[in-house]
Amino acid sequence: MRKYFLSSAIFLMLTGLTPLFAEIKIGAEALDFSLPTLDESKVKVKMASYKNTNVLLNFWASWCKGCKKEMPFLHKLAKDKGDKLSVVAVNIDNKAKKAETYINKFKSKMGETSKIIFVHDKKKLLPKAYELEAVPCSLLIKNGKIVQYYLGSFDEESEEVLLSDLKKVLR
Amino acid sequence: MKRGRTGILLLLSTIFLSACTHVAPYEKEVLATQKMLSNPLSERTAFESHIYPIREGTSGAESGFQGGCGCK
Repeated sequence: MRKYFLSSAIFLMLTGLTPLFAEIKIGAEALDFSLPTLDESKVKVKMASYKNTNVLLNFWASWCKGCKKEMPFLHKLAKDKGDKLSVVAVNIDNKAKKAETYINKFKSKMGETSKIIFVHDKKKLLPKAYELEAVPCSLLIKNGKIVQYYLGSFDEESEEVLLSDLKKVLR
Repeated sequence: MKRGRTGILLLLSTIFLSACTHVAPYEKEVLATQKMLSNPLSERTAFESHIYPIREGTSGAESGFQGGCGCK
């Protein structure tokens, strides 16, 4: 029995297996960040500036198909609810250039300026801090507190869930 | 002798098992590239699967609905 525990402990230590659980807690304070925008200006966007508003914080990457799939939905959301909701899309690509190329393509496809605020987290500090279980992932934040989170790409069902959550949040 | 064996086993485990690690979803950029696919050259595969049955005279050999005997 002792041998079994010892060998299991050694195995876990050596393989570096870590438990999978989300650090995103509903009702908890959203983590602070200061990230540069994905454009030439590189203006720093801070979570602190959204303390008294509503934010949809989305994590995405240009290599992630699901992220690109939900981008038109986020674009529409930012356009329709822009007066009450800010959509901040945190890109986690290693190189900002890849993300910028995708954004330019996306904007020309949409044919209009996007209200989504694109920022770049090169060091992936924010997804690490949240211990994201999936990409894409979106966090709905009201007055600096996490109201809900959505794992994976938005589909018809989860879009409905988000819209219904927004009805409550944007009252 | 037994201790020596355990030591060697532990050493080998350290060398080989340390390569196994959990990759967080946000760190899968390299894993998501085309070259990491089990079938990265899909166009070439399609071409080969077209040529192979003709060359070998084994129509249906690569698909799942025939036995590969060449008959249709």
